[in-house]
Amino acid sequence: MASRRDVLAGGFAAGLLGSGLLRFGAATNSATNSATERDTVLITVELHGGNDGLSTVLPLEQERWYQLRPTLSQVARGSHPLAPGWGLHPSLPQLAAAFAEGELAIVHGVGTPVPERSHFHALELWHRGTRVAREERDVREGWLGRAGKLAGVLDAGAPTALYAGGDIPPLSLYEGGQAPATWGGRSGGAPVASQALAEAQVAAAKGRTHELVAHAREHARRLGERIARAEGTPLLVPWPASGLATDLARVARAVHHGWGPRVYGVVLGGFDTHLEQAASHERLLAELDGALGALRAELTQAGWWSRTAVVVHSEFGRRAAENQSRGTDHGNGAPVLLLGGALGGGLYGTAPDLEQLVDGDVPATTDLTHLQSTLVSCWLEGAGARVDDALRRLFPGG
Amino acid sequence: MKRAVESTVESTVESGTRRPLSTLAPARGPWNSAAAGHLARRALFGCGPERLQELLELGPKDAAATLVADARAVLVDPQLAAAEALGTRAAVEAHWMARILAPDSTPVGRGRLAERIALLWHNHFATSVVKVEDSVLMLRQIDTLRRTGAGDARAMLRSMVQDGAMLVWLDGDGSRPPTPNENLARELMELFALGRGNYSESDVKEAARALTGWSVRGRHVEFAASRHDSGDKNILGARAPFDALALASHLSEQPHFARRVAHRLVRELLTDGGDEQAEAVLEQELHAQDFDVLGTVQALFASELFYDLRWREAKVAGPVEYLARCSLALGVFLPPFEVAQLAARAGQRLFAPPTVEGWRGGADWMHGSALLVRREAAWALAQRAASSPALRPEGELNLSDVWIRLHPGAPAAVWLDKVASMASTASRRERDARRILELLDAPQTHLM
Repeated sequence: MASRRDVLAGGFAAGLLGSGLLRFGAATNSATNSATERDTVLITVELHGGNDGLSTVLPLEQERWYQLRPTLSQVARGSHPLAPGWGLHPSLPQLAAAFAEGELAIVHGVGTPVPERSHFHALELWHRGTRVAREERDVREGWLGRAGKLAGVLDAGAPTALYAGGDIPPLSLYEGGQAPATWGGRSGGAPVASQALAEAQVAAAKGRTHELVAHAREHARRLGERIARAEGTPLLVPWPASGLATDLARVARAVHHGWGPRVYGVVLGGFDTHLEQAASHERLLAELDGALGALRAELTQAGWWSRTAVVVHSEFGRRAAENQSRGTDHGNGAPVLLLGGALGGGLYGTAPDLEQLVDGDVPATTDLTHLQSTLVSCWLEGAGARVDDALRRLFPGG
Repeated sequence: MKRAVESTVESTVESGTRRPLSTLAPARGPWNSAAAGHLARRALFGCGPERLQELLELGPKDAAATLVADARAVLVDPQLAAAEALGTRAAVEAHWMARILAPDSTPVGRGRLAERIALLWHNHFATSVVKVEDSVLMLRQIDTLRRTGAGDARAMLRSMVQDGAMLVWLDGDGSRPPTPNENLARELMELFALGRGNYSESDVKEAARALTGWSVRGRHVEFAASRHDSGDKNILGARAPFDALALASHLSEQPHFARRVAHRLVRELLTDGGDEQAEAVLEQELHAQDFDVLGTVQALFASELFYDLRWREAKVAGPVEYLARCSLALGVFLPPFEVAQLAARAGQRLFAPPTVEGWRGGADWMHGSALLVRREAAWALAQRAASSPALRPEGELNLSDVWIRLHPGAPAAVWLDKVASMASTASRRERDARRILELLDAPQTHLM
């Protein structure tokens, strides 16, 4: 059943690094000037709550799937074919189109070597990208925040990472204890202060703390100016009306109006579907599909799509069997979606075999930290970068 | 100050059971609106001009006594059951925020010191709903901290080892021999009671045995003797069959406990970075007050130490403090849930500190994105304030009155005329709102 491509040599965590998966390297390699090479951006879409992988990427030809999921397997009808034996949830037509055009890669079975069923701990593992020693835990820092710092910015003075959203930024985007630049809340917020007033306030500051605050405000004022400028620019394609679309449209504006960071993050919550999963999951995936479709169209028009990688992940997958409430409980391995104009599409990693579950779960066959390091070292740093160095810097102590 | 400490130690020895007098020298410096404003910001998240006038007339000793008496009167939350019945995370956040923002004219508003102290302990026993996943358990923890954290700090420590949210948060829930979970035991020693370096790894292991047997079923905290390790444990030099309560009592009798509590009081009420000297004095005061927290806080608020000019407007306001002080000073309010959301986006979601070490505070609050959220909040408040009759005594906005409300007794900022002369083509209301915005978002207003 598994194609050659489905099975990567080396088993667990042999890594995508050596597999030649993800043609990221090729894309950046072929760039002729260094400025273009550095222009790549990484956008992460975090699905909080634990997305049900087996209702997203469907093992249509595995009899066991229908047995384990008497109601949830009804999504087989209307699903979009991917490859023999596999389909996408009916609510994902635009992702299916991207797959057909070779712009969507799906990595099966990503997760942590030891299953972690607490949202809190699983997210922390994913966000930090490493099991962090106790002494280091008070440093709030995540893999994307570090990656943004390593990758550098496209515009002097720009923030190294941007979170678009109205909530607290996820830990993944923090760096050195600092939250990422954030673009959220209502558009057309407070008027930006005048530079003259801010300068007068900095000049009038007396004492260390007062000066610190005055300087921080001046920094915030410049960030506010960036947001105000970008908010005034038109979008190139129609976008759906949804929370995720609002956030991703801000990311798209920041990318093509030269905000400068190379790392972006958005969050879509609500995936903790313990009961009556089918309806809410369908709605969530439709929101995801609509927003990602628009992002793809927008950045294609803007000429950025071939330099963009979008990674869609969740803290864990869900149990292979549905529960008594027609929902699913916390599981382990789950597919990660990678979307972009120059990524190369296809199915990668070890495909889940529902006759070979581990403790009722799809096991994690690709260590998430390997996927993270692949994205950073190949996509952001370029194929010429020393992967070992990147690994060491990205995952200190890991 | 040093002499005061020594004399207390002596009087403790001499007087036997009689409680020694305060170790904190009483305030002697000038009592003016700047001093009263300092007290109001640190004790009440700020207040309006009427309450400030009242404090000013009382003098530091009676003002401190009044603040504490008012807080003691509202430690029991009569609306707790109603908030629990709603039970959602949003409702629970709004419920607490409404108490924090209670206007000066209400009993809860007069007793806002109770909420200030509850928030202080929330940051000390920092527990997050993100892992607990039950807002009602979180609300109950804060309610417990409001009540026990106003009185005997040792009883507060005992209440926390049996608290449902705490047991879930630090994996005391379901911990049983032969492999007890060490998480709660470790944090009890490292963060809550003793401080790093004041215990050994073996103390942690033994304490974890003492904490076995508890579980949280739904919202019920249960103890099962069959899942408890009842054998002798060696903890910090004592050998006994400790259980959770005996362990908490034992820890609170250690010499480092008072210092740990003093450290928290100083960090939250005096200065972000902590201060060795102030902590030593407060440690003595805690002993003098037999660990009564509000008694200690009252002595602090009446002391020379508290009014030292080096603390004035030199502590970075956290998001909750900032939003509350702006609202209370101007007497304009946003819906509590909206305020809770704004505070969250500015980095401080109630019931969700980032780690067990709480919010680090200080300069950490001052990053660009958080300040933009504060400005967004300030703008919402300023638009309301621009229509408030109280701020337009003769139909015209009185900008220096707004400044004085926010910064009682402070000289007008040198840049204030720049704000007053801001050119604008917008309506008068809009122009006034923009002026108020610049005072609410001034660097000084982000300092407590």
